[in-house]
Amino acid sequence: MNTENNDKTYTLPTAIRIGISLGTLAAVLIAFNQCTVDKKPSNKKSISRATSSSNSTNTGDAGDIESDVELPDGLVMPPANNPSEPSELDEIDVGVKNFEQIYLSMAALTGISTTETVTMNLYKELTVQLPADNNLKSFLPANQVAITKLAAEFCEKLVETQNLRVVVWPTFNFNQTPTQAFPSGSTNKQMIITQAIARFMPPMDSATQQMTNSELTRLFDELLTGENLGSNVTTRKVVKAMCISTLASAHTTLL
Amino acid sequence: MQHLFKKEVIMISLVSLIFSTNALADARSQAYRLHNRLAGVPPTPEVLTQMESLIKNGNAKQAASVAMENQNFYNLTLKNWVKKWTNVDNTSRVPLNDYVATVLGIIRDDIPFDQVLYGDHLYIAAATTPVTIPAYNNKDNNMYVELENKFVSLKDNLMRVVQSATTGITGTAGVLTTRAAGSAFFSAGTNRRMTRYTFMNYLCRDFEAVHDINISDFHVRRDVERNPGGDSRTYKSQCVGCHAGQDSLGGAFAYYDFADNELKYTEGVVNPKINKNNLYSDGFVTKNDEWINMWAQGQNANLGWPEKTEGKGARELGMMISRSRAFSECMSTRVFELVCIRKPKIDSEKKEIKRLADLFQAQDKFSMKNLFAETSVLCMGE
Repeated sequence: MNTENNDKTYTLPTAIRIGISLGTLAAVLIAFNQCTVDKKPSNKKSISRATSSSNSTNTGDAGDIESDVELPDGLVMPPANNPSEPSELDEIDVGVKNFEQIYLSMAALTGISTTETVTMNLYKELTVQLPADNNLKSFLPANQVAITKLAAEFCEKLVETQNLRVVVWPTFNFNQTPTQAFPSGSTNKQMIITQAIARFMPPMDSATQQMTNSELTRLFDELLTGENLGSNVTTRKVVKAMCISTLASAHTTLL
Repeated sequence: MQHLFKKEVIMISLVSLIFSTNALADARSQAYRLHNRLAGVPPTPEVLTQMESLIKNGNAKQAASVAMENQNFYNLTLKNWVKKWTNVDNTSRVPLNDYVATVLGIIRDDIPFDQVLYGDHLYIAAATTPVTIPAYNNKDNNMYVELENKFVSLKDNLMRVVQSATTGITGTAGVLTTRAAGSAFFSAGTNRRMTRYTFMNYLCRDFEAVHDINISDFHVRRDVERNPGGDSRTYKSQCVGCHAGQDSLGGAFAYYDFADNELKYTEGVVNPKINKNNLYSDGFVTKNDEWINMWAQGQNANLGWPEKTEGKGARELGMMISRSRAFSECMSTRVFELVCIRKPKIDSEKKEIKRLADLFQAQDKFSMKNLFAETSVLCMGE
């Protein structure tokens, strides 16, 4: 040990020694400030900001909400998180209506009041089976079954109520039997189908309209096979089927 | 009847599902989609023709405004959109409440939407409502349940009242101090839930997204263990990242509680539950409703906070949040996701979000109606 050096250390002025001690203490306090520091509200920042307008807003860029897509300079985002190919950028551009949207859409299209007891009760019963949100990916077969059930009730009410059905099929006589209403060469069948499409389905291109029309025509004929063609009840049943098919279709329930 | 045609009906529905994507997006189809997306229901033939004409004449935004005149824009689209913000499960399968009604009213009356977090507004059923509705009551939600059950038009039958005068709570802060918000976010606990869900709903960021362990933790309360699991490193490297920021803001809600079925506000008296648990005696003790935004510095400064980042009470906190850049961008994103039914993905769409946010907060108008009209035309098809 060098005695001379030790002597120099011991002869440091008292003020410097106190300064070193205080500095060390301050460093410890800053390093572990959660233990003891209780910041006063009236700090420097509050004084400087007290004069600022509280109503001013910031513009610019608040950053990407999905912040993981931004990396520091020099780092490259893995392709999986940074889609660039057209197939990766593809998005589903449609949604499905949720439970309430389906109910109110059917009410609007059929003209049946939202507070109509029969349809409202069934809606309340089916609510949990109808789509919960607009996400098409969460659409399940059970949802479609519920939609079809609800449409059946609306169509039942629509076709059995004179002042409602006349809005959709203004010239058709619902008291005729199938034999009377749909004889060979009659345009009534196409009229029923066309007016149901026009009322319940959105605008569509001619090819889609033609395909829909063909399917409904085929269904129409199948439904009459083996039925009592001498009863006007059968006529109304077939019209209800056209109504259900269009009202419960994806054209109507997609958003 | 249903049994007889079940097979055929399902067959037709499925066939129609396949056909649906082929729809031609001409002006009429665009009008139909625009109305469907905004009002949730198809347009009447008259409205469809009117909107088609506007789109053909290059005025799609005006067509969107026509769709927003439908009462179901409020009764369906907005209602289900906002309901998710009013509960911890983020679900729209909850009854209508004062929180939702107030947001709807603010949008309907085109009140600057930033006031949703600090305005002294409350919307209740108007006296002219055509059906019998229970009176507003601090202790129940019956008025709003009845409004919904009876399918009352919220567009036509909501009336603005002064929230503080109606509820008797002097420390109002827009929807944050509605009964529904209190029930969901002030019940039990330590009111931290309110801060977190306000960030999630109005800044589109949960606390993980603002996690910052580099800011001072002098506001972290006594109920946060400093050595969870016997290891203080966990606190320093994880817990502090959220608590340093949220506990600094949490003072704003020190006087609130939800008890006995109603929101309670004890001005000047910190609710005992706030300081109840003591796991670390040297932790912060909340003595009043002062708050400071520690996240205004460091990595979260880019949320674009306004000048004033400290204050007293929920109202001033709400003002700071709703006047941040992140609020505008969050609202633009939420509207985009609602009317486009997807997240903005490609760069051009993200730029659109920035443009819409600029537009939203331009001249402090914060017009939500305008934001809806501007955004919806982006997704009406080509």
